Amino acid sequence: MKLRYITFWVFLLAFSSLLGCKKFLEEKPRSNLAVPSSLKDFQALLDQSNVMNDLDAASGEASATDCYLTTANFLSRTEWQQRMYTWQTSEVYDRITNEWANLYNVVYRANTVISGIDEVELTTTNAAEWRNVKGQAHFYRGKMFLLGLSIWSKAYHPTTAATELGIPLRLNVNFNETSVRSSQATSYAQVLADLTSAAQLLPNVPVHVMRPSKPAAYALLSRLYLQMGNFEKASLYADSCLAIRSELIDYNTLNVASNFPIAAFGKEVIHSSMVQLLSTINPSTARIDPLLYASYSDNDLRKTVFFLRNSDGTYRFKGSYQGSANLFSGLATDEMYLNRAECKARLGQQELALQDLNLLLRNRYKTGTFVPYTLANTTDVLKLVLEERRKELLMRNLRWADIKRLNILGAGITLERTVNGQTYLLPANSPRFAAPIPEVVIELSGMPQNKYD
Amino acid sequence: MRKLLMVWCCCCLYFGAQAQYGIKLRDAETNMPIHTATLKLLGANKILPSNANGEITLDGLSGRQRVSVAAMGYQTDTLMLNLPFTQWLLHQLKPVATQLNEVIVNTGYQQLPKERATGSFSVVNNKTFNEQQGVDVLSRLEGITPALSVDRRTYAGSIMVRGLSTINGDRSPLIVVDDFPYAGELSNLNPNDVESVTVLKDAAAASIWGAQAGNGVIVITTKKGRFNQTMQINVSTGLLLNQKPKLANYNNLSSAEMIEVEQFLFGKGFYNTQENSTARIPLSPVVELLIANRDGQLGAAELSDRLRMLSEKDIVQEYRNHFYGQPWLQQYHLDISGGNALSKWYLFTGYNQGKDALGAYSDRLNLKSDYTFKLGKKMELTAAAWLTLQNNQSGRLDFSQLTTSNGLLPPYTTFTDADGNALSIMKNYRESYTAQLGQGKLLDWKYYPLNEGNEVLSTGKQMDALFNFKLSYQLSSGLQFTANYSTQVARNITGTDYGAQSYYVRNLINQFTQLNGNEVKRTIPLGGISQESRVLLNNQNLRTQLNFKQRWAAFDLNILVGAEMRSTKRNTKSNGMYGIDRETLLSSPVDYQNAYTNIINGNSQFIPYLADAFGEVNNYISAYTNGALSYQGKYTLSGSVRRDASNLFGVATNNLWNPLWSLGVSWLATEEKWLRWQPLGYLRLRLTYGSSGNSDSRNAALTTITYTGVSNFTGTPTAGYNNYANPDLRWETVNTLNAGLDSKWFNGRLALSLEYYRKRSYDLIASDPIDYTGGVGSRTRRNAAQITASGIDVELATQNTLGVVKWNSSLFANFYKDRVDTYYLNSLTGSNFVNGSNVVTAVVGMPVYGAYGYRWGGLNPQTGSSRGYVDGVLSEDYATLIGSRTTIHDLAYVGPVLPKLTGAFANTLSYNGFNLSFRFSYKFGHYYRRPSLNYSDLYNSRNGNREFTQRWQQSGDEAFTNVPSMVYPIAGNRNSFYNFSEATLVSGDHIRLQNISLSYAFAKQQWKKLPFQQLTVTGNLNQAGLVWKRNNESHDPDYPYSEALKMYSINVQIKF
Repeated sequence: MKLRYITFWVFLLAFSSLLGCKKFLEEKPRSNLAVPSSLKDFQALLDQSNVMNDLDAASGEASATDCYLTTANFLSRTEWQQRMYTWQTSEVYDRITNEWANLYNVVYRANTVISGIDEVELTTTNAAEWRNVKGQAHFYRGKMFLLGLSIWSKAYHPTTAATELGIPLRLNVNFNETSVRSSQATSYAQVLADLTSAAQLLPNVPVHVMRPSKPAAYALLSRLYLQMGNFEKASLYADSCLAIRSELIDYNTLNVASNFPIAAFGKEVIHSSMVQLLSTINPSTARIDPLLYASYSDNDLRKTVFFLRNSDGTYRFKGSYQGSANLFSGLATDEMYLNRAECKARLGQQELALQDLNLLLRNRYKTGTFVPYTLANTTDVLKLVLEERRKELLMRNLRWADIKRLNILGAGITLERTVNGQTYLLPANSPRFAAPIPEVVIELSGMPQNKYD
Repeated sequence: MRKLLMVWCCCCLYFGAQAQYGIKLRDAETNMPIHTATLKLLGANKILPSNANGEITLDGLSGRQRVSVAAMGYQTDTLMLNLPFTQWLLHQLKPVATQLNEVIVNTGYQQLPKERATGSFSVVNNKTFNEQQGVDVLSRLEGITPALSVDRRTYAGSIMVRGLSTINGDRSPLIVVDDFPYAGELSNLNPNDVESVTVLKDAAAASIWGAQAGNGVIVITTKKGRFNQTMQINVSTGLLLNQKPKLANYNNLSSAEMIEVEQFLFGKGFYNTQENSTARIPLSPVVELLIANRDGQLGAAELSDRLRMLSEKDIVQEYRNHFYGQPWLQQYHLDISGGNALSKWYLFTGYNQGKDALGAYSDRLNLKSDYTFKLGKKMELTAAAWLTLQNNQSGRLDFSQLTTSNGLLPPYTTFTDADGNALSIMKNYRESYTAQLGQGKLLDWKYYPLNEGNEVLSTGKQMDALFNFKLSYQLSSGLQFTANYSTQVARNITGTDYGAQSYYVRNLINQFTQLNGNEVKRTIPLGGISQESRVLLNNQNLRTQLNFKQRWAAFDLNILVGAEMRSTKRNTKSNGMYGIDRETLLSSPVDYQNAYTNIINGNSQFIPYLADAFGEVNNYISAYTNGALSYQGKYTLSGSVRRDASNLFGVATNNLWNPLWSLGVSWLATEEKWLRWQPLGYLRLRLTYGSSGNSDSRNAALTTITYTGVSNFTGTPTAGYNNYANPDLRWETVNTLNAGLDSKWFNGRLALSLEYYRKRSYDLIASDPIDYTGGVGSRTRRNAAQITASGIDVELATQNTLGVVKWNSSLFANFYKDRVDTYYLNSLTGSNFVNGSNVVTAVVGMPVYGAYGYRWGGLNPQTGSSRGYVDGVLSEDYATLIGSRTTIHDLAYVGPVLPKLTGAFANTLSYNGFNLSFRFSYKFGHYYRRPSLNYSDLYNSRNGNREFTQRWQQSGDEAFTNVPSMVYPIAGNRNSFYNFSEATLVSGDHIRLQNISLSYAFAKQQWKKLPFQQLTVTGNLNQAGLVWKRNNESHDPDYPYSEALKMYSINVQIKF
């Protein structure tokens, strides 16, 4: 009888403890799993560099003509790469794994941080980290939108921006929302807003150049304004950037015989990132435009630092700031000097423009061979700056955007490619300068495709 | 009480007036007299013993008498006798070990006779289970029960309960061993320790397992001792010999054809890019010869000579000769069991060891003890312990490991030279490049597959200890309390030692070697590399349960109420060492902090970090109740409710306690007086209905991330997404209706059971294409459709002859059908449906998974290009044909992906100790996509298909082939169109001979000198082969991506 009661009580106790075990149910199921909610979680998402830094959209570079393919190499590329190479108006990407998806993956990560960070209490002890993390998220979102605009939207012009199609602006983490293309004006305004926030929040010196920083945000703002044709602002932000980071590599210190003479994360690099290495621009396949190669003078160290002679007499690119065959698409001080020089030249401050250009070139020429440009020996400063820009910033994922913005100002740059016995032309300001958005995206979202007729 | 039925089945009664007759008792299996039996007159409380001949005379008795016959080790039978007899009545008692007529189903929570359960169960008894061969439990279940099938549409076949599971994604059923879900490796269980397997199929049967039961439940019951059983000893030993793999799925071009293709591509300049690649990817021997010829280093005559020599080689033949040995496996087991009135016990030990075709060794030792004793009349205690020790060691390189950095090895690859020395073959880099690199300062960079197996040794050691304790206490006559506790501790240590001479080590050291003029700096030290990982598992279960049993007049009430908690912890730690000296086993430190230049491509990279740790905890709490009320043993009403909660991340709280329920009724019709009809011995009807949900953690309501490591750049942790929360996702619910009929005819010579089921799944969760602008990839899990799956399971067992030759047959047939009732999504793009057996069909009324393909318009008679239809017109516009304009409505529907009919047909013939059994299995009415030729894969990675021979080559070929002509440049869309057209969808119908087994039993009564009761020798052939298939493909329709290997075995069993 006694035993019976004891058992009964044991049973009751066990039963009630089961139901009361809230802690038991709240135990974290996997040690490495988390609901992203802390600054540590957010920073960890932003530090996964293979997503955030390594896969910048490359179709701009692949569509620009700094490099070309032989017919044999062209024919052994996939169909969509061949179509992209020849500026077709449809099916220029793999249907699923493509740079549109990569770009918006970064945007989603940034949105996870931006929409979650306000839940993290801002205290005096975490303020620096809090601001830094949020700033990084805005930087990446702004950077990606700007890159997307340079590929899938036409060149910016203030008079048409309100009516031209921009890109879908994903600003939250609800992936069920239908994508809608914002106007160009709204899109650029969003980039500006993001980068302005980033510039305010980020620290001057990052832990590593794989992370964004204040000078990086300034540099990107300068790039943004240059694309928008606002040279005052572009110059101003280049200036702000250079005020923090201004060092240049003296190419005389490099080992030109090396496979890749410029090491990764060098002193010019402000923020490091690289493009998705499509085989149409991979240095092992792509050959450098012979006219471009010929434009370097013999005393210009870039001629040997940047280029390697192939066995067939053509040249390949080896001057990446990644220190490898990967192509650098990040931000560096040389670009800022050139931005400022171009803006100054356009704003009539020719002397200041030449000052920047001379500083850069002094670090590019063999010691003692460079003769500085002066107003006296230069007829067209702007033309000179743009020529030097092309020679300095090749294979940096900038040329495509440059062609677009220069053409809208009347440069009249027409691209031409001859492959497999056929010549393809891309006239200045052609609607094909805005690449077709992947068809799957158009099908599923119902967004308007770029128009080509 | 229930034995009353038996009277009806087993004997005929004769009437007369003489005395000196009675009952002769015989063992039902051996027909030996039972001399230890007693007969009890139930009315008179009188007990009569049997004599040495097993006879009990019934003198001086008359009229109808109820008696019970009992003997130690036998089931007690109750008989109704009309006395006096006019001749001897022969009655057979069944040994306890084989309860032939009564099937006990084990739900894991209770054991109950199948006759009393309303739910749908399939039981695999010990005999059938042992006819199968194999060292693990699950592999023995295929084709022997109508409830289980193996789906091999993916590379790894997955076991499924009753056709299409409602839950997308993980379809594996819950495996329960004795009372609790098994947390360890299932391969740790020894099949010789298995008594029976119960498959719980419908809602009423499985609902007791709650949310985990969504994919069905398989309950494995291990062997145990019995009360009042004389000691039994069983010993067995077996030898299994597997067929060597034929590598049928290499299925590539012949050497001559591959050489032809490579010459063709070389002529087009296809290899120029690869030749100049900075990654220095390897070129095949043929391409290297062609380059040498082009560069003037090899004359035309010698080139054609070398090519001719290569064209005579055959990689499959070479590989089979050099890498395969005879696979074998030995099995031993010994079990001893016994029991008296107060205790029962069972001891088991099993050992097996073997080598596979690659010479990889494995062994396993199983020990088990199970002991139950009664403490007084009310309390019973059980303690059981299992211990498993496993070891394994790697052998030679598997064929699948022999790949290069840019595709398959060419079919003319050879592994030895004319003198039998190991040759190097293509691997990661061009040999001509690595040979000159470093001017001799680097380690040999060649890859010798024949030596590699000796240089790389992977080992695994597993220890698994499981303890079960069970206490039951009779609180009052109808109320019983039980408490179960089980704890399992498993440790798994796996490691790989890469010898200093292994390719892995040489390659890594070379890659990280920094050359600076004459200075050689090895950032990875010379010596071996070793990696080890330890997994520690700890699983604990606690269950308390009240069983209530009461009888009022004709009513029987059975209720159980219980609660349980379960916790599974898994910890993984791994680490590794560089630069191990073979003699001293000392290792050297490496620099993980700094990046080094890769000597091949000049990229900066970090030395692989070999340490990692990871922990996992899964907690569950459940409360459940289950009851059955029956009236007169004829009508039964049952019901169950269960709720579960777990610590799975992100399950929204309103779903945390997800209720599941079921209701059932059954009717034992033959108990009705008006249905007493001689041929029909037993008829029972069952009907159940239940609701279940989905506890799949991947449908979590919160976004979660996984920490992946530490950034080499910032030194801080990095993380990626683990799950994207979808606020629009609804809980998936499945309602299942099951109606069953069980019947036995003609004195049990025919048993027929029919089951009809209908599973209606609301809000079926499926993977759906999503606009990847959302940033979460190209597919997401969405509520895609409402579907209905229904089927009929037929199970027919017959005893065809009863005489000297006994012939029994059993036939299973499962008819299955499903359809889409409502489709919620709007993605209709055809290309989503052509390659997917796991994409829900977007058309209402069609099967849930359909074999769809692009409409095939044959080959163009002029060019041999494949053609499809755009707007009903023949077209070669492949971008449109496979593009978004082609919707599911434009596709050709060939048939369902899941078979409409599956089943098995088994026969057993026995004669005088001989026993022959054979089993056919079949699948009908389904279609699958066969492997086909893709020129992109052929050009880029030498991955072709034998149908290359049948490709279109000239006008007229289109009449008998669908294989498109070879073109250059690569036309990816043209290839995809053919690969996913209806031309490559084929019928999967087939019949196979699953198993043949022949045995002979030496029994003591025949072979008097035998020192034991019985010795059985069994020879067995598993996977005997296909008997018939509908399609004309060279592969087995059930194994399009793998192969079914024949397995021969011989087994000796001794019963003491």
